[in-house]
Amino acid sequence: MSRKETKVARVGQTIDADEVRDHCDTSRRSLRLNLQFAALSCMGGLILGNNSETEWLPLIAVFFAIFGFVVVDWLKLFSLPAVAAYIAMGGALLYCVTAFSDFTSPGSQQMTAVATLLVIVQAVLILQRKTIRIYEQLGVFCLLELVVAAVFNDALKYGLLFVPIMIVGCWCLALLSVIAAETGTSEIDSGALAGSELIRSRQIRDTASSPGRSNVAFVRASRWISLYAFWTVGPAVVAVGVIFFYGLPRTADASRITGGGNALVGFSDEVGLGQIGEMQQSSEISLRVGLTDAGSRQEYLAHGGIYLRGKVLEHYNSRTTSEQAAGSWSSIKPLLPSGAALPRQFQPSKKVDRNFYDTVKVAVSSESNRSRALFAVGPYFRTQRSREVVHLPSRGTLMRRDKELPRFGFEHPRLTYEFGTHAFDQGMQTELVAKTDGNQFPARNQSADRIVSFTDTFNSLRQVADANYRTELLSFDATAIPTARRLADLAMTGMQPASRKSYLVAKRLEQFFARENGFAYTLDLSAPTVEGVDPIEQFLANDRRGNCQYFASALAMMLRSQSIPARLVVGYHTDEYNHLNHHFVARQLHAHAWVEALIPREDLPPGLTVYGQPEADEYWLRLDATPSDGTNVSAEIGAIDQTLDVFQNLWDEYVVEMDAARQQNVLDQSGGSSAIGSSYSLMVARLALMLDNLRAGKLGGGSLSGKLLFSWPAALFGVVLTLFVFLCSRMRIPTWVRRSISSGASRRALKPSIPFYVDALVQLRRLGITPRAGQTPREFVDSADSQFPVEHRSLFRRPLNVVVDRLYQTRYRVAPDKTQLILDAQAAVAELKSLVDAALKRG
Amino acid sequence: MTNRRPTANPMLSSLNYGIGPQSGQRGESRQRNRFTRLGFHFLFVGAFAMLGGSIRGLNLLLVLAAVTVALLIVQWRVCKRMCESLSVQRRLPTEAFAGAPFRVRYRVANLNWFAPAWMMRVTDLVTSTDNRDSLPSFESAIRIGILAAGATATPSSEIIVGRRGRYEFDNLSIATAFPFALMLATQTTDHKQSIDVFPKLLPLQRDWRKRVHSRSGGNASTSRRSGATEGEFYGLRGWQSGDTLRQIHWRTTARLETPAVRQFEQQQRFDVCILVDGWLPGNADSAQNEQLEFVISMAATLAVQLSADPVSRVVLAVADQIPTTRTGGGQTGRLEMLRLLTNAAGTSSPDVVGAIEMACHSVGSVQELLVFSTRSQTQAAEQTDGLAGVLSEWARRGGLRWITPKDTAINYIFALGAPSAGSRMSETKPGPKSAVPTRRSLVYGAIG
Repeated sequence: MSRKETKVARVGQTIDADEVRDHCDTSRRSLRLNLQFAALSCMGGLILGNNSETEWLPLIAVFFAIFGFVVVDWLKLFSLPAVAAYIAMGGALLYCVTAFSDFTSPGSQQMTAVATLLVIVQAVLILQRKTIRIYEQLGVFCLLELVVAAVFNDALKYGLLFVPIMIVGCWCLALLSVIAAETGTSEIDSGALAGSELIRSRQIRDTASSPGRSNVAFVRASRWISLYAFWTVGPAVVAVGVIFFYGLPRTADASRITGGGNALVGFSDEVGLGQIGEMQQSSEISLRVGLTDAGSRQEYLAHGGIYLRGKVLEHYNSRTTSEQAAGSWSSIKPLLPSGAALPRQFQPSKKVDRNFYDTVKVAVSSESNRSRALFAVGPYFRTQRSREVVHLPSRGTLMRRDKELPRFGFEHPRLTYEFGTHAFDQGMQTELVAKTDGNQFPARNQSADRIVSFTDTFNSLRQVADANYRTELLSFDATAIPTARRLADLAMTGMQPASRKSYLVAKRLEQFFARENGFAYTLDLSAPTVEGVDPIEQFLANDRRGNCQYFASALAMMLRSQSIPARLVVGYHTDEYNHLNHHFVARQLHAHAWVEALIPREDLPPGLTVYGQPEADEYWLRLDATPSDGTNVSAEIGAIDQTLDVFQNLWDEYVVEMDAARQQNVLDQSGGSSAIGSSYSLMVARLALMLDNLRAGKLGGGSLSGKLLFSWPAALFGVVLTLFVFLCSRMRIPTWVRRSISSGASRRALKPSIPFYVDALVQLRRLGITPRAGQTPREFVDSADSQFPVEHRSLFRRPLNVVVDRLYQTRYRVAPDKTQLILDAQAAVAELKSLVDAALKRG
Repeated sequence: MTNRRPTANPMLSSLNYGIGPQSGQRGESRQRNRFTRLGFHFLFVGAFAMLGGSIRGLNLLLVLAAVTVALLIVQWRVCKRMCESLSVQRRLPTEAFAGAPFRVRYRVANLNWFAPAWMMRVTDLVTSTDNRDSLPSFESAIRIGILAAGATATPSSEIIVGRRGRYEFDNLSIATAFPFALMLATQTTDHKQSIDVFPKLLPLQRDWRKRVHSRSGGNASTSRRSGATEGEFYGLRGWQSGDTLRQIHWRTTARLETPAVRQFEQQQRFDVCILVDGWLPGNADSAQNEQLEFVISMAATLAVQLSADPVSRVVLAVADQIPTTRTGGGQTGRLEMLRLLTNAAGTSSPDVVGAIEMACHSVGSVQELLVFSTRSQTQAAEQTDGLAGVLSEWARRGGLRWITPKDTAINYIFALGAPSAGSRMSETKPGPKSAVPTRRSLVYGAIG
C-alpha cells in the first residue's frame, strides 16, 4: 500500500475511548495467546524427554519457550527474521537427517532424530514474530511431537502430560477461532494479528471502515470463550474421543515399539555377577502380581513377601585370567528347550490334604523383557489364561510361548498371564518344591509299537540328561574357590556326623551368612578386583560384602563343596503390596538371587510333609543367604506411589494394552444388544482379515505388492492417488460436464397421462425407443420413425400418426365425442403392438 | 457441504432491513463448511495416527487419533449447527456522502432457542459498479462475540468511501470457526443492495450566501424578506387526502359543507441554475480528474444548501455527454440532484449549451447561473460554439458566476481548510485565507 493510500485510509478516523480499550484488549489477548502457545511448546518438548537419548530435548523446549515469550512476545526486544528462520530450520534439518544415514543401527535413533528436529524447528518458530501461520505451525508441531512420543513412549508420564497438553491446546484453538472471527479467513492467510489495524489497512485505496461499538462486546466475549469452550465443548470432545477409541475395531494385538530402555534385562541365559546389583539401582516397576483365592475369588494375602522364579542358572563361569576378574552364571539347555504346556492342577489322593495348602491364582503383568523368561511361583499349574506361557518342567520356570522377537522390536512386549499354585499355606510361601520328572513323555496310548519305542528312547535320553544335570549341579572348582569348602567345613563344625543330613547342612550353611560372621549386604560394586582371584573367592575370603548374587553364588558353591546339588535362581522377591489395587509390585530393585538345593526326601525333617504337590524322591529347597536388609528393601510404599501405581495400572490396562479381547470386555460391560455385538464382531473380524493381509504384504490379495510391508510402488501410487483426488476436489467442474449432467438428469421424460399414448410408448419401449424430455409427441414420432428399419417405416408410421393425431385431438381440441377418438387410438395401438411383436419375432 | 435454505424469518420480515428505495432482492442463503488450513493439518495427522495405530497396534497413536477426530467432529457439528441457526440481514442508509462515514446496519438473529452462538464474523463485499475506473472491491466486516439463544443483535459498520459513485453490497455472509478454528462454516445470502455515494460535501464559509448571489433584489430576496409564499392564487378544489389544513378555504367549506382547499400557481421562475461543466481533456491525468471531482463537490454542496432553503428555487444541470437537469425542492428533488451529480462523468465535449437550454426549457427563466467547471470561461467559450451567446444574457444582467477550482474566490465560499462536514453541513467561521486546493487536500479523488 502506498503512502498516499495509507493517508486516504485514515481520513475521517478518530480514535475514541472504545478503540483505545479495544486495542489494549487485543494486545492483552495476543499476549495471552503467546503465553499459551509457549506453554504448549514447552509441554510438547517435555513429552519427548522420556529416555536418555532425548532427555535434553525438554531443556531446549523449555528454554526457548520461556526466552521466546519473554524476549520476543512480551518485551519485544528481538524477533528472528523469516529468512534467518528458514536458514536455521534448514540447518536443523541437515543436522538431524544425518541420523538416518545408518538404517541398520538398532534402537530409536531415527525417532530421536525426528524428535530433535521437531523441537529445534519449534524453537525457531518461537523466536519469530507471531502470526497466525506461526501459531498454526506451533500447534501442528506439538501434534507431531505427540505422535512421535506416542510411538516410543508409553509410560504413564505420556498420559499425565497428554491431558494438560490437550487442555492448553484446545485453549489455543479457541483463541484462534476468536482471531478467525476478528480478522476473517483471508487475514489468516495474510498472517497478521492486530485485527482492527488489519481491517483498516485492508480497506484499500480510498475506503475504510471501522466496526463500531460492537467491538467492546466482542472483546468482552472473547475473554470467556476459552472457558466456555472448555466447559461445554470439552466434555463433548472427551465423549467422542472415548467412544472412538473404545469403539474402533481392534485388528491387531496391542504392541509397544519400545527402545526407551525400560525393558527388563538380567534374565537371559547368562547373568553376570554384578548384573542383579545394577538392576537394583532402578525403581521401575517390572511386575504386578495379583493373588486371588481360587475358592472365594477374593484377594489372597501373602505374608513375608513372595519369591518369583525367573531363571535357573546352573553353570558357574569364572574368568580370572584378565585384569578384571569376572564371574557369571549360565543356564544349561534342557532336553526340550521349547518348553511344554503347564501341568494340570494336582489333585491330592486324600481330600483332607487340601486343608494344608491354599489354591491361589496368580495373575502376573510383566513389562517388556529382552528375554523369554517369565516369572512364576512354584509349584504351578495351568488355568484358562495360561495359554501364552510354557514351562520348563525340570527347571520350574515359565517362558513365553512365542520364540522370536517382534519383527520391528528388540524386546518382547508386555504380557499378562495367569497360573495357579499350591505354594501358599495361610499366606506363607512354601520353601520346598517337589522335583518332578522333567520332560516326562506321555506314556498313554502305548498301543502302537512305534510310540512305545520312541517313549523308551526319550526316557533313556532323559535319564542321561538328568545324570548330566546332577553332575553340573555338583560342579565345584575347589582350586579356584578353596574358601567355599573351608567355610562350609567351618560352618558345620559342631554338627554330629549323624545329623549331617543335607537339609540341616543346607540350613546351617544358609545361616552362616549372618552379620556376626562379618557378612554385609551392599550395592556398592566398586570394590577392586584382584587379578587371578575368582570373584566368589574374593567375596568369601576378603570382602564379605556384596549383593544377593554374591551371597547366593557363595552359598551354592559351599553346598556343592559338601556334595549337595545346588543351583542359582534369579527372579524377584517383593513384599511391596499396593492396597489400592490389591497386588504385589515387583520393581527392578526387587530383583533377587537365591539358591535351590536338591534335598532327598529322607533328609527332610521328620514329620515334615509337603502338601499340594505330588510326592517325589527329591525336593528343591529354597535357601536365601542374603541378609535381611538386602531382601527386605521396602516394606511399605507411600500413598502417592500407590496412587501412581493405580494410575499406571489403569493406563496400561485401559489404554496401552487395549486390544480386541479387552475391548470386548469393555463393550460387554457397557451393555448393548447381542445382535449389535455380533455384527460388530463380524465387522471387526473382516477388518482384521483385511489388515492382516495388508500387514502380510498381500495388498489387493497379494497382487499389488510384494511381501514387504512397505512397497515403493504402492507408496508412489498412494501419493499420486491422493494428489489426484485433492486436485479433483479443488477443480471446478467444467461447464459442459455440468450441462451434460443436468441435461442427463432431465432427459427422462415425465410419464404422460393419456392412457392410449402410454400404451403406445410401452410398445415402442419394447423396441428400445423412448421419448426424450422436452419432445412433443409429434417430434417423438418423427424421431422414432428414423429409428425403424427402412422397409418397415411405412408400416409403423400409420398407427403412430393415428395415435398422435388422436392424442392432440383428445388433449387440445373440443370434440363433441371423444370416445370415438379413443377407440381409434386404441385400435392403432393394437396394430402397433402386432407390428412390434412381429418385429421382435424377426429379431 | 453446501445446502440452501430460504431466509424467510417471520420475526425479521416485518422489519425494514433490506427494504427501501435502494434495496435489492434478497435471495437464498447457502451454507458452506470447509476445513481451514489448520483443520487440514489436523485431518492429515489424525489419519496418519489412526492408520499407524491400527496397523501397528499402537494404542497411544489411536488415543491421539481419537482426540483429533473428536475435535474435528465436534468442530463440524458445532459450527455447522451454529451457522444454520443464524440469520443476518442488512440495512443501508438512505444517503451517503463520499469522505463521510455512513453506517450500515445489520440484524443478526440466533434462531436457536437453546444454544448461544459465538465468534461470528459478518462480511459484506462492496463493489463499485459505475465502471468509471477500476476501483477494487473491498470488504466491510463486523464481528460479534456472543449471541444468546434466541437473541437478536443489531451491530453496525461505519464505512468511509472516498469517492462518489454507485456501490453494490453483495454476498452478505456470516461465518464462524468456533470453537477450534479447524473448520469454517459460512452462510452466504444473495442479498444485493446498492447505494449511491454522493459527492463529497465541502464545508462552507459563514457568509457564503453573499458570495454566491451576485446581486441583491429579485424575487428571491423579496421572498426572503416576506417569508414563504405559495405563489399566485389559482382557484379552489375539493379537499384530497394529504392536503394541508392551512390551505383549507373555510368560508367555501362552510358554504359547500364539504372541505375545499385553495390552489396556487407556482412561479415558473427559478432563482439559481447550477451548471456543472463536465469537461475533461481527452487524456486526463489524475490531477485533472481530481479537479473535476472537486468541481462536482462544490456543485453538490451548493445544490444541497440552496435546495434546503424553502425560498430558493434551484435547478441543476450537468453538461456531460448527455445533458441532464433536475430541479431541487424537497427531499426528493434534493436526492435526485445528488444522484445526478453522483453519476456525472467527465467528457472532452460536454454539451454545455444543451444543458443550459434544457434547464431553461424545463423551468423557464433562471435568474442566476452558477457554472462550475474545470476550465475557464474563456476556454469554454473558445471550445464550445454558441456558448458565449447563451451566456451573454446572464452576463449582461450580472447573473453569471463562472467558478473554477483555481478561482481564489472559492475560498470565500468554501472553508477548504476545515474538516469535511459530512452529510450535515455546518457553517464555519471564515478562517485565515486558505490557499487554492492542492492535490494533498483533494484526497477523495485518488484514482489510479
